[in-house]
Amino acid sequence: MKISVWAAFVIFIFFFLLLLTIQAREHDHHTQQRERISGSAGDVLEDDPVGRLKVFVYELPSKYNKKILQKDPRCLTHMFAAEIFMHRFLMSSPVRTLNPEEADWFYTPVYTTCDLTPNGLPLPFKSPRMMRSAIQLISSNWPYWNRTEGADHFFVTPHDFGACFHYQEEKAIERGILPLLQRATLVQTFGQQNHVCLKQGSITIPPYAPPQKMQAHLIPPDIPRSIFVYFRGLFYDVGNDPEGGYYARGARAAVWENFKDNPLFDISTEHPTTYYEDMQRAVFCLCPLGWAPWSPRLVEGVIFGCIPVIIADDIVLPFADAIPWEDIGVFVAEKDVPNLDTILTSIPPEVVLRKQRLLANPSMKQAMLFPQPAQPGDAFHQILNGLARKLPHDRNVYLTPGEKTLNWTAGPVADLKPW
Amino acid sequence: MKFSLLQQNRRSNSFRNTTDPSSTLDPSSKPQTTASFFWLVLHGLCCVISLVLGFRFSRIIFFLLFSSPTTHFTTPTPLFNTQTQITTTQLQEQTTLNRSTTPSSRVIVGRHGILIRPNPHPNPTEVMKAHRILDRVQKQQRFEYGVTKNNPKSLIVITPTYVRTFQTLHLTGLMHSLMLVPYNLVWIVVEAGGVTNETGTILDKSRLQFFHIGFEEKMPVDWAGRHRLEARMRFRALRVVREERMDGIVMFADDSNMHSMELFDEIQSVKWMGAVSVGILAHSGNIGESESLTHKEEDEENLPMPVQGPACNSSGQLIGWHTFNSLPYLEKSATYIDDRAMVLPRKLEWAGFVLNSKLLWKEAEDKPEWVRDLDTLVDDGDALESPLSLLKDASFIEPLGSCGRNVLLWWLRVEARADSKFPPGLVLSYSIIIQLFISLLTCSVLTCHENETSHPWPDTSSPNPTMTKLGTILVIYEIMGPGLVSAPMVCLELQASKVELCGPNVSPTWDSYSVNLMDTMASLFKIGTKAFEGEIPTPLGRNHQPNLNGSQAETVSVLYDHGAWGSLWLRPNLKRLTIYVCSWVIDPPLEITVPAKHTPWPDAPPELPSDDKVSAIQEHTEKHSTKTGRTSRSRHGSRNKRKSEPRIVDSQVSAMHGEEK
Repeated sequence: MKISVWAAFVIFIFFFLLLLTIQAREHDHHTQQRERISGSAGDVLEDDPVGRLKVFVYELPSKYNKKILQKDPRCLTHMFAAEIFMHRFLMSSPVRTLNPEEADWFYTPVYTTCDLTPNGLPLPFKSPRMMRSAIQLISSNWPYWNRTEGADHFFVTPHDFGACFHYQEEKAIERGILPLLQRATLVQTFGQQNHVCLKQGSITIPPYAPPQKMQAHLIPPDIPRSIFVYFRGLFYDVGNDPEGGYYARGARAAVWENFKDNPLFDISTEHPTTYYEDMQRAVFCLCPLGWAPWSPRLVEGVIFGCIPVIIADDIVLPFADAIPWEDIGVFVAEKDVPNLDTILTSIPPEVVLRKQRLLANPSMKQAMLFPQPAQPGDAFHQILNGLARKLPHDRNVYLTPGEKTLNWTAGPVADLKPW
Repeated sequence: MKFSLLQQNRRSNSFRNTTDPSSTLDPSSKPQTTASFFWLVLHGLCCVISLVLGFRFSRIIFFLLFSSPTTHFTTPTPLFNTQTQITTTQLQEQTTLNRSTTPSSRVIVGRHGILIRPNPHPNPTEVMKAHRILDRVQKQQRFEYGVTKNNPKSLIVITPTYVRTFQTLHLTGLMHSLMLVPYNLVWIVVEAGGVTNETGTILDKSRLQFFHIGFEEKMPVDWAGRHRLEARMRFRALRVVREERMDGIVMFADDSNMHSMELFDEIQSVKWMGAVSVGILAHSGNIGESESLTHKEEDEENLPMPVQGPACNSSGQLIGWHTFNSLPYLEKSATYIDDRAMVLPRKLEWAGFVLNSKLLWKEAEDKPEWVRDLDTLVDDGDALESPLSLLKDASFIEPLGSCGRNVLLWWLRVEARADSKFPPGLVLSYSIIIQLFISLLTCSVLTCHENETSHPWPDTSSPNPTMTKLGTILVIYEIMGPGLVSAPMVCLELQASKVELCGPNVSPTWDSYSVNLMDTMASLFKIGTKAFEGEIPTPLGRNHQPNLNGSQAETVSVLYDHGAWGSLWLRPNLKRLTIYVCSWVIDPPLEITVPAKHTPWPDAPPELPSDDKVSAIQEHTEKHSTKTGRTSRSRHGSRNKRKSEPRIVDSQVSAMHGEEK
């Protein structure tokens, strides 16, 4: 009797301790995870990709890249310029290998987004044919595409909806990712969870923002930040969305309609010459979605220490595995836009300061930029780091000789025409 | 919770299971008991393992169950298609900061409504919170990057003063500026004619560390004499600094100076002796010729506001001084304190200099040689024209404020008549000094309903929210300066009988960049709106009936008569503006000898050109003579024209009478 009571007691203690340890482990797990995010941000951000991967750059006829750029040099300055600078960077990067046999990744330098309207907006209608033509070329001239059908190839597709190659979301979804790129790794600015145009394993990158220009507009850090909320840009895209409600899913229009008269909100459509300076005098900078969820304001906000207020449901942010966006930005659901003032003002000042502190981290800023020449830790290196983290390739990406999975005739008929 | 319950059940089960057989068993069979104990432990272990595994398993099940399948990107739902373009939703008081953590995307492609909340007005408490955030951010910026980051020096402020009608007005203004200084501060106030209670009361209110020193001589009534005496009073204060070996930066703040808060940061950088530019608000008491004269002079120099201070060459070195050119004013300037004429500054005002207090010490290490010892100077006002007399070589002076290009300090002398007989029971119940930086971009005036503090916004349907009720007015300023102004909002709730303040500065954390309203004022707020009406472009003014009965209005109109308002408000290129809202409570009601507007002063010139003075000041800005601007309409007319000026204050201040008045 006594012993059984003792046994019960011991078991009770045992359970109790077990419960404690489970809880403690759960707790550990949580704190560790949190620590890991902010810690790993630092770690991963400052990784050096050199020596961890080798990239082979296909030599394509200049009509795929240089000639296109010659035709329209504006491609170097717009926010899709990452494809060009990535090419230039890889040409002189130490990770480049001239021996394709030892390469981990293959890069095809094709400037699919460099076809601009007179207004400077890219027209992606020829892009699928161009891409197809380039892939046909590399698959017939080199054996490496057919070895994996593109699984160890990466492509830079910085267009609005990445490799869907259309600026209207509905059309882009209808099209889907170019069938030939099904197996390739895409490096793109577009990122939205569970979206047709964002496939598993893609790397989301920041849009290109001119680094020298931004550097030139830096103002002393002691100029007081006296603007609460700052935004410059379109609210309605009357030309493409005359009835309203499609553009930015109505979020930008809602910002305007609710806060146009609010003195805390410095919002307007005109683009002043002091745009960059003003961002440095603001505490919060709105980064609402446009036609695509991403926006160059994300980069500008990070560079200028203005806390990005991200209004884009389910957005996948650039280098989300390396940058703790939750810690540096504010996420506002699109349906909560009418309460934007309440949401922003209810952030405790200490949290605001912490976000600013994180934003002030130079490695964070560096990771958002594509500087010329490249610098350690910049966005080029983050892309390479991302690619290196995917190594080694899974065994099953290598096809048995003669095996075919890609359907070369899939997709709209118009895309099948030769470029 | 369920988890622990489950455990307890199990525990009791196992307990029962073990006890029941043991009770039936022979108690002598020990090996069996140990065996049962062993089995029990084994059983317990199994329980634990299954528990842990079960927990993990159930978590996976839960995860799979509640993360919904991914069916997205349907075509636009009919709901959204049938919606009108503008969807109005109820304002939800939901303040989730994180986006939804559900892993699936529920974003619908296609047309979305534009969400507009029914009440567009900002919530005042949220506005306050926003300003608190801005405040905190700016404080942090100053802490990390500003001058405060490395051991700021303390300030020693020297102020000569004397008891007079406008002393309270001026001294309170200065006091409030000083109270906002984020550095250690010692205020040395030297009072002519000996220490008085009046001055002492004001100083006591300041919560500053101060020395109140009496000076035997009385303040003379002529301006020249006053300047001389003030110089000597300042020297008295400098001797105190020397005797007490105070360490810090000495600045000379006259009670009628106006300081930009940046000045206090700027002078932190001074090593021995620095000079800043002083904007001269030389107000003209007279109309007509003197006015046109100043105007002509301004045209010639193309300087809307005279500035005195250091002059630099292109490489930023001190090469000379901008001094106030009094020549054009020579015959028009005031000789006596109450003259209705231009009050002119000296060539170089003391206020434009700051110095390291170690210069004054008898011995200090590395004290420069180019400094005269204080004892060798003759105690004579004429010899002490400016602090330059402290130096043997004035070329060592460090020009401050981007070499004098930034005007951070203003000089103004406005005095009531020396013989103005303000009754002894006259108490300044309070004064508000709003120190604003200029270039007010937007301003909205909103009316609150009486007794509706929680929701002070009027119906959105009300076409003109400014005029619905007379009881309470909420004035909101949005102040945006070129690069430097930080506190953008003041909200002032004026009620008929009391003043409540909301805005960023009700909290005790006063920030130097902030727009500041002083004192939590529970006292009476009765103001002669007459004083506001002429000068301030207010939307209320149009429909406003000036209420000039009663003594308050008249008292305020003294202020008005002397042009303090006008010159402060209307000067172009003014970097800061000061608004004084004052009211006197007269107790007991007595016959006041302050004259009414149209009755002449006893033994004084027959008419007081009060309105004309103001309009005269307007002429500075708009080359437009409104000599007969006695009616408010003409003043409005000039105001409208003023709006077309590019750098004119575009702000609106409104004050209203309570209905019971």
